[in-house]
Amino acid sequence: MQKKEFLIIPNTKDLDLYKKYNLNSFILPLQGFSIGYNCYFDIGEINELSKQYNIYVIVNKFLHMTIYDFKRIYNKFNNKIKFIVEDIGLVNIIDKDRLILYENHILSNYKAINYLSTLDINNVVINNDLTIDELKEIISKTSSNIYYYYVSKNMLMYSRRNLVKNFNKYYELEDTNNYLLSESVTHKELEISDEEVGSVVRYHKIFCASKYLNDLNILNLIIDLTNINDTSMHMILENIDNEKLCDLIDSDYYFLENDIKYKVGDIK
Amino acid sequence: MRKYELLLPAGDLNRLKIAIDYGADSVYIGGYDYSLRANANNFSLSEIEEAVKYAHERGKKVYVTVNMIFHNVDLDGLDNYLLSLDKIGIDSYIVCDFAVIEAIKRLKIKTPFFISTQKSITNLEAIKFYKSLGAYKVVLARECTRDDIKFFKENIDTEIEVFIHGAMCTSYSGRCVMSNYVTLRDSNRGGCSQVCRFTFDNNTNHDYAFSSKDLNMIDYISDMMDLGIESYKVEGRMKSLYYIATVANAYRTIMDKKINGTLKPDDIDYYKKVLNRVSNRENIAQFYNGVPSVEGQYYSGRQEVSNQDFLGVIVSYDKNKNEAIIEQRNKFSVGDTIEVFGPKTNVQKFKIEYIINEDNEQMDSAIHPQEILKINIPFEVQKGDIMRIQIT
Repeated sequence: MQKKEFLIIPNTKDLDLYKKYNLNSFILPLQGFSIGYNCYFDIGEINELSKQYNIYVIVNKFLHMTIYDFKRIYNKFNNKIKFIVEDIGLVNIIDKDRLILYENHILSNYKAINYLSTLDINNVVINNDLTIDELKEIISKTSSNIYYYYVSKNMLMYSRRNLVKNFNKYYELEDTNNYLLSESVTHKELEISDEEVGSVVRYHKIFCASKYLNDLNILNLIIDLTNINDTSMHMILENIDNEKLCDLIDSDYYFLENDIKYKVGDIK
Repeated sequence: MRKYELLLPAGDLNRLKIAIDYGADSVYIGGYDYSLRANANNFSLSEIEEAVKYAHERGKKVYVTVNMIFHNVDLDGLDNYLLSLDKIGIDSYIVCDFAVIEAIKRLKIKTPFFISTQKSITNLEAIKFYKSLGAYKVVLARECTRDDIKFFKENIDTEIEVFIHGAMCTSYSGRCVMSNYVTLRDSNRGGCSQVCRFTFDNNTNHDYAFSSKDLNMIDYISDMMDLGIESYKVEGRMKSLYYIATVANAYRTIMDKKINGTLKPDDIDYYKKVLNRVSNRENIAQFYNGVPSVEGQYYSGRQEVSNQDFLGVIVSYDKNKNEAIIEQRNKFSVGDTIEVFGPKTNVQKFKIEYIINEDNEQMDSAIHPQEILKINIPFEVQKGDIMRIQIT
């Protein structure tokens, strides 16, 4: 397994802003093929940045017929660039050594990871709703190159519908592409945002696994800065190697320490 | 097996029998473990055995969902469960997690498997991938359009299964964990609390809601059959017996009429009314003709309406007296015109002329659920046939 690498999903296109933190690896959302981010990059920009940085491209949309649009541009990317992909159809298009499979919230056990490895899919993003014990067991029973969302406002849902635009149109409201949603009973807050190709919901609190950095530092750790304000962002980047980071920002790591119930009878 | 498969859900053995009796070619069910409807009654292994026996005796199939997302702890017992289902003789596993595919292959299980809609398959390359793993069929993402499906059917021989009726997730299936974060229940292990049907404050003068209306493909079944889609799936393992009977009967009738060349616009109009009444939400064709706009969702919270169309079940019929003994479900009265339908009874109407209770008293109305009553029915009906209000 590779040694730890921090990978940044930026919330601005100006990557020079991150230089002072000595970060060299970035995951860039690809214009037209990604959803739910603050900024997107076209192929020219990505290739240019790949001359300076280690660049990964994230393609997190389900692609439908546009998978063939991706196929047409794939060979135009600098061949150092790797791809983090949600749509499993891309396994047939992207070279295996450049592909990192990212089935959001799906890949949750060691046997699945090991099975993918028999298919030469050795780079995977695992679910970050797992407990630390589950993660440790996965780490101990797999040899794949695992990526893990270490700090992020987790993406909880992805719809093909325009859930904000439709709401605004229904009530004849002024155009906005995002809302902060508050649930009246639990008071949990969600961030919904709309793009031309669909909508995503992110959790309002920042997931942060720093408390368990020593257990997780064998993984490639993704820091997704999307929707994170400047104050928290600087705190995160200044304390990227600090186990106490989760105490320095308004974070939530409930699932790292609590099994989630899934049958009503299990909920006491 | 028919070329075009009507696939119904069943949350328990009674529902399975109703689904089969009312026209399903196949039924999908979940065991106590590893399926995605933890709130449904679900089936024990002995009940699955009985279900398979009942189905196979009638030339029908049973698919078992093993489609939850497995955490490490869930892997214990998976092998034995898959082997038990294989031994029972189920017709297929419906799977999502790669750990299940791995186990099926490692154990050299002969029972075939196909891929759950939880994988949100939206393109031909994804179908090819799962075909390469041994899947003979894939359930498409509900977000696929007619153009997507047409392209698949023209370019691959893997069987295609599509949802034609029932509730829709707002999200691409499998990619939503709002339930986990808002209510601490794991959506991908059967605990979904349907947070997309909650309302939220969004700092406007309106509650924010974004739940989907239901899916109803009755207008497009003929077109879908022309495309060559093999399997037509109804959602709803937690739905009522009446719902299952009604939906199965509606689609069975439409598909059979299409096959034998007798399908008319009036048939579609009638069954559209039937399906609209049995659904507790509004329903549309959703993504078939493209991404739905404003009309595809609700904007003011839960919109379910209760349904009292189900009036009773036939217990027995006396041909000499033209009289039936029935078990009441919802109110009806002397003078009402009602419909009867069943597995061997085409939809027929009649007028209620009398209602007699078990004390031999004449009643103006039947108002007590599950009361046993005698009523006139001027044509032969069968035990288990269903009485409902007249659909106009």
